[in-house]
Amino acid sequence: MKSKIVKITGIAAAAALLAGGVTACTSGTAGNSSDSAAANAVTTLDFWGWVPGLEDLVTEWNTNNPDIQVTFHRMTGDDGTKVEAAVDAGAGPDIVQVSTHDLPSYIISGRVQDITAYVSDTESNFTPSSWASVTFNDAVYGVPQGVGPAATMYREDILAKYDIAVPTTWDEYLEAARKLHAANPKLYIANLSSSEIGQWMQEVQQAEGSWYGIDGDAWTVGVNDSASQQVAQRWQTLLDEHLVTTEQMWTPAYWSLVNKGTIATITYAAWFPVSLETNAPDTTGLWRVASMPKNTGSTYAGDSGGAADVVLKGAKNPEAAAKFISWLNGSDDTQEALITVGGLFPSTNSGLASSSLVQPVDFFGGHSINEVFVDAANNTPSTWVDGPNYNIAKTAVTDEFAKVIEGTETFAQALDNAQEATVSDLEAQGLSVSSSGE
Amino acid sequence: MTTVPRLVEGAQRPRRRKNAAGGKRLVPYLFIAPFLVLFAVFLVTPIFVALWNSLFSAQSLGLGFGGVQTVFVGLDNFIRAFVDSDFIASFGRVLLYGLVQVPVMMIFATALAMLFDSALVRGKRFFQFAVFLPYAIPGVIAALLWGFLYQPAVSPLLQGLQNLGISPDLLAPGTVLWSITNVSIWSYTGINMIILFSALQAIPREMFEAARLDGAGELRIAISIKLPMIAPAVMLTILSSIIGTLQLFNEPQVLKSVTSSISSDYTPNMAIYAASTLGKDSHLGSAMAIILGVVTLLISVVLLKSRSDSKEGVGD
Amino acid sequence: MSEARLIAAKTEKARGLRRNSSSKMVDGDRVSRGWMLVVTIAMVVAAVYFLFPVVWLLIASTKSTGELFTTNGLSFGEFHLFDNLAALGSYDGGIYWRWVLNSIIYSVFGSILTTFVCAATGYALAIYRFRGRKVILGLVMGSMLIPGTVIAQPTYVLLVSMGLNNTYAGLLLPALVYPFGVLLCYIYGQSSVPIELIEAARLDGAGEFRIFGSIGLRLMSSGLVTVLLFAFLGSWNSYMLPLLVLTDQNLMPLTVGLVGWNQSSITIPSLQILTIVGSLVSVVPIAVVFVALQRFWRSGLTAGGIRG
Repeated sequence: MKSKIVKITGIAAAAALLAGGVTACTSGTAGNSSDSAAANAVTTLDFWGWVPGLEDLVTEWNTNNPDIQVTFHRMTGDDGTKVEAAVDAGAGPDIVQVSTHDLPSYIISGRVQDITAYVSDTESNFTPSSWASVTFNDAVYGVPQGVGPAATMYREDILAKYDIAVPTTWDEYLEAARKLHAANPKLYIANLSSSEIGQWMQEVQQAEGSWYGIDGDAWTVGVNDSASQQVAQRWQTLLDEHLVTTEQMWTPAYWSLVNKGTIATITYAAWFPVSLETNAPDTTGLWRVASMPKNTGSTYAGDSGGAADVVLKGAKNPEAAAKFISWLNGSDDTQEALITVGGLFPSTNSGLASSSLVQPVDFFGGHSINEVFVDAANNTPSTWVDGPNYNIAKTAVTDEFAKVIEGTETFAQALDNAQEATVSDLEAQGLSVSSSGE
Repeated sequence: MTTVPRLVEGAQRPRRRKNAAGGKRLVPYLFIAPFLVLFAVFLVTPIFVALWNSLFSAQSLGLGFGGVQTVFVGLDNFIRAFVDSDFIASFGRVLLYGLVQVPVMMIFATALAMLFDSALVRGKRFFQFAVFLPYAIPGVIAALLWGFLYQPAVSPLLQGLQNLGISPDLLAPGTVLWSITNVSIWSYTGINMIILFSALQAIPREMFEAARLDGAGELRIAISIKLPMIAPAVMLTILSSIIGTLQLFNEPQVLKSVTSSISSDYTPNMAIYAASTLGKDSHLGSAMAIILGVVTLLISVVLLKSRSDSKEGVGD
Repeated sequence: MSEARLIAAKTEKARGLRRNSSSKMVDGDRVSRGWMLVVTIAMVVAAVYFLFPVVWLLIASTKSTGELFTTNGLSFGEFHLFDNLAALGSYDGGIYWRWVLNSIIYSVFGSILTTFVCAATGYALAIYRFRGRKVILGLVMGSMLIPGTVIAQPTYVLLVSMGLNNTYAGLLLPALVYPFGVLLCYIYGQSSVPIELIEAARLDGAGEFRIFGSIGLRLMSSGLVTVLLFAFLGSWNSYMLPLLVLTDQNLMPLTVGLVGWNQSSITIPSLQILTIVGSLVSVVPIAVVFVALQRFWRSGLTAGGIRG
């Protein structure tokens, strides 16, 4: 339910948000309506998003573009789940921020507009993999708004105490897990949360797998593809040998593990470190960031998914909407705000080159952790394809993984069950499914 | 409005209510008109829309980029729901939950109402307040609160038990249903107690006086006079509790965020939510919701029927 | 109006009786001290059970976010309640108080209107015999069995087509349909409005609506208080409909706002404590309403309680 929406919410800005200075969303456009508005017809755009600090950027846009006025609505909680209902009822906004995993279902249900004609010239601003995530069948359906490259955060003090080198491959990771737990049975290498699908997907992507693919005029489903099996085997071993804890992520119980130093590593996306910092303030200075462990013979890292701004079906002026989201996400002027206030990991080349991205972070011992994430972003394989029933697949996988944690089935069985559920749902929608996947 | 309607002694059943006669025939309709209009608009219409919806399905072709067509599929959505073993299992789960939750809560509520109605309780005002207060806390917030109390890392309850050497896992697959049960008992005992209490208070005190003069004890009066007198109120609360049972949603949905033991289709209502919101298939969701509605209706009718059968002997 | 006086006298007498009987019971030898002790202990146990989470909420509200996860749940840390309250009031431009106000608007206006609609309907069903009465009663009973999920989505679509989404009216109007309240009012009307009294009023020349206003409503009043309370709490607790219907933060009730905060607290941890303090504060108005209405159940005005 909470999916990416809340999680990607740039945590960086939490403090800034609290410190004040964020105007209520309704007061954003005051004062602009008087002058030139009468001459030209003014387009008004309704925009729903969750990135912190968007209010200020919207105000900046409104000041400079009297003929295209944007109203911003901040999404919280369950807001993400009601967008479809709003669009279907004709009450949806013009622009909404979505997780790129959800994009295909929006496209297939006809809830977003093809904006290729308005945005294709901005393609060079964006990283190829992020642009690929909004492109289907040669048509562009959105403008990327941040990505989620993954790296491993680790407790330098714990690894040092037990004389364990930072693992660079997953084989070394398994050895480190055994060594740590043998040295101190109260310590574990990591926590495995059955509900945290992003952590799963980043490793499947790293292993060049994909939940979906396109084979001619049919979808392929790869929830149990060979890459997933590889990841499954890894975690099955860690689970069977009791080398990981299994708390649900984001709960007090989870943060308690982190605060008490029970787990030594967390592998997750670029937006996670700030969350770590705010939830485990007592561990300041103890954490470091390294590239996530590699698969044998590979240099790839993974990505748990990004977001995009899309123009919805009901939008009367898609060109204006596309113009606004191109500026918001692609312009050089906005990159610093998106990175520092919004907490986004940029999907643009200029953002990746921005000096504000690589500031040293005290919590991580004064290191510039984003250098590691930039490296990960540059080494993400482009094999991942999102598909039309991501939510079904995700729900099936997390429900099945809960049974794995419970001990009533294995990861391999869980993946097979989830695969079957995903395929049958696609077929129920009338979509073609090719079994020639993997 | 000055003419006095002469009351016609109807040939109907010998009750004390009578026809409003003559030009006043319209009056009752005026009284119920606001309700009927709202009822038609906000209840009847949506139900027909849901029924209609359940007969269709959004279908795409190939990769699906060609757009969606809504096609008539008859009862296909209902068949899909029936062959979904997890959806069927969710009914079994709430029935099991209801078998425990409803009796425990009703016994609890009835006992409390009886005690409050007796002279045995000192500080009634405070204790009634205490029992009722949970109902004032929205279900979602209540689940949130108990969610904290179920987690060993933050729960003073579990920390206390741990010091005694007991460390129960209240969120494990085998126990989480009962943890949910506890939340609902905690939330809804108060309101049921109040309903039953107000029913008890409405019984004319003279009735007890007579019994007392005959030498009946308080317990005897409670069981043989008070309980039968409030039977309709008890029935009403049981019925609405059972309906609530089948519609269980908020508590497990909120607790889901702290435990993996609750799947996305843990209860029928959660399955409906998952189908229409997460699965984005409002047609299947409508079909599932209608199945839930029919099941609720059947159970209620059976219950009301058994009540009216047994009522014959009791008298009214 | 002599009948009315008679009834009033009867009630007075009944009250006197009750007062007598209860004082007799307390002072007399019927109530043993032993039973009293057992019952008191049981009551204390029950009170601990029902109040425990609220006490925890109260204590948690005095803590900082860090202390929430690191200190014992029932012991006080440093006292941050006032800081937390200040933070609650100032977060996002004081949106919390806006939610409180909205919840009060929805609950107060909603419950008064709902009670009136229910009272008129229930009264008519109880007092008059008219064509379609049974059908309506059946519909009312039947509609209590309909799961809210069946109609949530269609209701939303309907509200949008009426242009009522994202408005106060969009949330207030659907809540007026409250079959359980109608049923209660029907029962109250049957049990507490003597037809003789109505006939007498008619003989005195009173119109039907005046009779309803001056006799019906008055005689049903204690029952109506119960309906009012239910309707109030129903609006206060409602979550699904406002979530669907409203997108404007400034129109949201507390439930939607607080749950939204709780879910956002995953990434904005400072919201965790605000959710807790916000929940605590949200209990206060309800507690006040309950204490205010408690008189009605206790003062012997409960003649209209649900009875066979």
